[in-house]
Parts: sequence; structure tokens; C-alpha cells
Amino acid sequence: MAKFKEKLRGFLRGENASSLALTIVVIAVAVILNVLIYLLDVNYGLYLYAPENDGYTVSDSASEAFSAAAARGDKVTILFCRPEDEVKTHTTGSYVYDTAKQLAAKYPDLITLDYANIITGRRADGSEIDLSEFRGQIDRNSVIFLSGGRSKAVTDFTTTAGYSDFYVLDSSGSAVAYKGEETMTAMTLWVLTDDHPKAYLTTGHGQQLDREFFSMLTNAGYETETLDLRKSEVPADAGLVLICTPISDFEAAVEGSSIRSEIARLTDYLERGGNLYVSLDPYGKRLPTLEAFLARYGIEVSRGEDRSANILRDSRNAVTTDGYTFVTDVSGDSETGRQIRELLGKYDTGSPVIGSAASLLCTEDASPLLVTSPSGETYASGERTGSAGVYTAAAISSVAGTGESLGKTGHLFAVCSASFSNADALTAAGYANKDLLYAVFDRLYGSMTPPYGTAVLSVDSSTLENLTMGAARTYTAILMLIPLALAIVGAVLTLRRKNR
Amino acid sequence: MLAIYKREMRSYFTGVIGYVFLVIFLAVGGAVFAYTTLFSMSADTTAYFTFMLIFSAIVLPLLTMKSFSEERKLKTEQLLLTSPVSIPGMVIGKFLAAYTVFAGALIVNSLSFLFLYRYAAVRTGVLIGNIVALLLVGGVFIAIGLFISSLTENQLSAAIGTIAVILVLLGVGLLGNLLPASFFLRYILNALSIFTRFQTFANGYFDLASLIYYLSVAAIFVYLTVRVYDRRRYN
Repeated sequence: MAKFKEKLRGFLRGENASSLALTIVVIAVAVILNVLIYLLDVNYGLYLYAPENDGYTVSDSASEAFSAAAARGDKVTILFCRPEDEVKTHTTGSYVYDTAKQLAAKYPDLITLDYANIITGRRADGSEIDLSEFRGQIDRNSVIFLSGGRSKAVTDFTTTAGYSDFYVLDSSGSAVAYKGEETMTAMTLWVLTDDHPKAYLTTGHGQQLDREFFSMLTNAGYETETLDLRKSEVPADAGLVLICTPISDFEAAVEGSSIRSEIARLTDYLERGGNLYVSLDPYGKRLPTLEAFLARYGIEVSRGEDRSANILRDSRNAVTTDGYTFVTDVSGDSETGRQIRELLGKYDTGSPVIGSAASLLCTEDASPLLVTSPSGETYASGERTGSAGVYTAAAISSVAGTGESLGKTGHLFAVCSASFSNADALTAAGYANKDLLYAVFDRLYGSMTPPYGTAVLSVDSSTLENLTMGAARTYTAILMLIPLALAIVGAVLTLRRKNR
Repeated sequence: MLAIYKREMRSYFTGVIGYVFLVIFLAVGGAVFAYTTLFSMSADTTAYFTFMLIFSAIVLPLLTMKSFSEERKLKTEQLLLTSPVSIPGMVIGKFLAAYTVFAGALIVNSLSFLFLYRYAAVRTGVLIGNIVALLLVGGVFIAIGLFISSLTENQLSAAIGTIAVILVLLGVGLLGNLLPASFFLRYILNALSIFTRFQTFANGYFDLASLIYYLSVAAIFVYLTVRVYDRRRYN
């Protein structure tokens, strides 16, 4: 035994030629082990997958409105047009189903769920269903909200995936985020009332309306229609008129002419207590008539000597490295600003973000609503035109009613940025653009209670929301402090050792 | 083994190598983290970890180049070989000391991920997978560095040799990808590639095959270093 042990020890120490054999054996064992594990891995998947956070949990945003509705004895049924088994396993419908389930569990006195097979024409309990009693077109991907004889169908005709109104889509129609709670909350609130103000989207000047902005208006409680001011007056039932980034100018009022111009129609509407939303493109063609109309109500687009718009830059609050897209502050200078700030604070939805925006100048009739930090600057044609200071990125103006509308107040909201209300800005998690607009509609224009504070679940959750360049620089400085401290300690200790 | 480990740890910080490594690793790691995530507005750390993988291949030889080469050059190798420490104990002690410095630097650098949690829904599993993968790859690089260092008394040769071997192991996957999909060699080269294996962890998979691969490659190089010193002790 002792002899064997000695031989083995010698073999392991490589005291003879067999040490090479031992090395070969060790490597061979390692290779065989790896091949075996690799084959097992291929056939049986020997891995653990770290799952992503892909669930959605409903927030408490709607609790106030829903609790009030439940206290009034209101009931809402959310009816899926597929059998429950189908919708819960549907690729996009399963998220909608899950959110509806959570809402029904959270507000059992208000919300109940129901399922129907519209191919057989029967509900889950076997009773027949008459689709003609519901407003709007219905298909298998429809979700119908029902309350006291009122109904609202959310039907997808945009994509083949289905349930697209519960998702944020990109320009190619692919879902980039899930916003089911917002749609569901808005539609639940919608069927609780018959009173829906009308929003008119002006046409005829190349106005552009983002799909997400349109959907937001519906969620805010508006029924939306288009309006060509060259052909007709603003209807009496208009709760809101929108002019979204026109590319050609409006017709000015011509003195003595019997034909009423677009500006005259807008002026009349505003001065009889109407509500106007205007967004301009700072890089687009100049629109002197429309700008002059805004200036009459105290809101002016700031321009440099060559008449190009002064574009805002805020390096401290920037979310892009060039500084032209930045987080804004809601100004508390006016009562409206204070109310909106309070609302945004209540739902904790962050701050609005704005990109490539022209600076606005407010005279005494108007107040700033969104402002830069004190480190804001303005640039025109690449040259700095305004030194560090607080600049206005969006403004509001209250217009006193005249004539028969004496005592009424019209409202004008203006922003000079093409991207302020686009899909990216409205659906980015962590920014409050959508809630800010909801608050504007709610407080100024008196729409129904909008679905504040609901979050979106991004398909790509990797974007850092609400991180400003100032914060990024601070974090980088903190990261650099550690090696700097180590370098100093190392240098001091090495020098002391040398001197000794 | 513990005595060797303590001695090595002390030597890193009585000289400048330990400080130089930590300062370079933390400063470059921090700057790359800031550039690939904070200033790119992205919580996606793939670019950061890919860079750190390549960067580790270049800086880890700093830690290992002197491990055995210096002992030979200063003639302290005889003391080690005649000391009452087993050869495996000596090699593992040196391996663990270098590994401690590397793992410490990586863990301190990883604290920077905490910033991301404030601004995005970070996929913690994927993040941990990447850190574990880099720790495993670091073990492989250190084992290779120790082996090459045991073959020469020139520290520069040890560092360059280590980088060359590591780059070969990193690059065989790329070479494999140039071959037609029907070639069996392509699969072998991919299986041998440190980089290809790293990708599975980077995507959030804790892959047992890759784990065994990294551990066995590190073990083989540690074993080879033991063989080199065993032979030298008895010669």
C-alpha cells in the first residue's frame, strides 16, 4: 500500500514520464465533462433564465373617481368579445384581460367583467347578445364598456395583433408600450356620463395630429371632429379647438370684407369663452398672421434679428447631450400654474419634457406655464441669442368674454414645439406631458376627469426616464471620486514608504 | 496557502501595481459606464459589459505578470519552492490574491448600477448574470496570466503572452462565424470561445454549460501552472 501511495505521489508530482500522461488525462476529463454538459444543455436546457419584469400592476390613480362612482351606485361592465379562455391566452389581449381583472378586483362595487363569443352570439352565461345595441363597430378584438344604457366600444382596426387601443404603437404599427390602465380607466369614466364636450381639430393648413394625441383627447372625455375654418364657423358646441403644427398661415381678417376670415372666426370663438390649443413648429415656415393672433392675447414667439425662432436650451435639465431637449418646471407664477403643479404633484408623474422648442414671450395678459431652469439659454441659427435665465416654453392666456359672453373666460394654451405632444413625449414613462395636458383640459377647459397618473409599460424598458444631463454629470463625478481617492492614497503611501 | 495569499495581497499594495490596477479599472469602468448608460439615456448594459470583457483582457495581465516572473527575477523563487507550502497551495494562494483584487474592483464598479434603478425598470437578473459572467471570465484570465507568468522571468513578455492567449480564446468564436454553418468546426470554435459563452449570461441565462466551461478552463491553467512549478521544484 505504501509503495502504491509513493508511486501515486510521484505520478502526481510528475516525477516521471507519466506526468505528461496525467496532464493529458486532466485535460481530457475537462473536455469530456464539457462535451457531456454541452450535450445535456442542448437537449434539456440546463439553464436558469432571469425573467424580465413584464407584468403590469394597476395604480391607485383612479381610486378617487371610481370610489365616487361606486358611492353613487354606478355599475360598469367590461365586456370582452371573446370567450374568457381565448382572451386570457391572446398575445396582446392577455394584458388587457389581466388589467381588467385587477380593476374588477380592486373596485368590485363598480366594475364587473363579462365575456361573449360574438361568432355564436352568446354571452358566457349562455344568453344571446345583440351587437346592434352597442355604439361603434364590433369585432372579436373589441372591448365594450357598458353602464346604465350607455356603451363605448374600443375596437382595433389598426393592426392584426389586436387590442391596439390599449397599446402605444410606433409609426410602423408595432406596439412599443402597454397603456391598458389608461384606456380602461378613461372608458370606464366615459360611460359614467352622457355629457361629452366636443373637440374640433382644425384642418386645411397641413395640421398634423399624432395618433396618441388623438387618443388622449378621447381619454380626456372629448368627442373629436374635424373643422375647416375656411368654410365654417366654430360650432356652438365646441369645448375645445385645436391647431396642431400648421405648415401654412391662417387667413387674416380683412376690414370691410363680408367674408369672415379664419382668424376672425377664432377671435369670436375665443372671446365668447372658447378654449384654444395651439402648437407651432419653430423650424417651420413663419406664420405671421397666426403669430399676430397669439400676440394679441399676450403670447409671442421670441425671434432673433434674422427672424428665426430663438430655440431653448437648458444644459442643467437636459435629457439629451445637445441640451435642446430638457425637463421643464411648471411655473407657479399664475393661479392656473399653481393648480396644475398641485395636480401633477398629487399623481407623482414627474415633470413635462420638451424638445426643440422656441422661447415664448408673455405680456401681461398671459402667464408662463412651462419654464426652463435658471440655466436656460436661447440659440438661433447656432448662435447664442439669450444668456442664462428662466425662459418660457409654454404659456397660457385667459381671455375675457365680450358682448353676450361678458363674464365668461376663454383660454388659450400655446407651445412652439413640434414634439411636445407627439407619441414619444406623451407615452414616455417618467415624464408628465400627458398629465400636464390632461390637467390643462381639466382645469382650464373643464373636460371630464381624465385618467391621470396611469403608467405605461414599455416593451423596451431600457430608456432612462427623467435623467437630466446635470444629474448624469454629477453621478459621473461621484464615480470618478473613487479612483481619484485611491490614486491619492496610493501615491501618498508609496512616497512615505520611499522616504522611510 | 493563506500565508501566500496574505503575502501576495500585501505585495500588491506595498508596490504600485495594486493601486495602478484599481485606479485604471475603476476610472475606465466608471467612464465607460457613464458614456454607455447615463449619457446614452439607456439602462442597457450590454455595451458596458462587452467593453469590460475586452478591457479586462488587457488590464488583468497587469496583476498577474509579476506573480511568478518577479519571483524568478529576484531569485525569491528558491525560497518559495523550499518553503513548507505545497505547490498547489502556492499557486492557488497567488490566484486568489489576484482574483480578490479583480473581484473587489468589479464589485465596487458595479455599485454604479444603483444609479440606474432610479430612472428605469432595470432587469436585475440580466445585470447579475453579466456580473457573474465577468467574474468567471476574470478567473479564466487570471489563471492564464499566472500560467504564462510561470513560464518566463520577463514581466513584459508575461503580460504580452497573456493578452495574446486571451485574445485567441476571445476571437475563436469570430473565426468560427466566418465558417459555413454546415462545418462542424464552427460549433467547436464557438464552444471554445470565451466571448460566445459570455453572450448567454449577458442575455440573462445562467447557463450551466458556460459555467462549467469557465471553471474548467481556469482549473486547467491553474493545474498547468502547478505542473510547471512541480517540475521546477524537483529539477
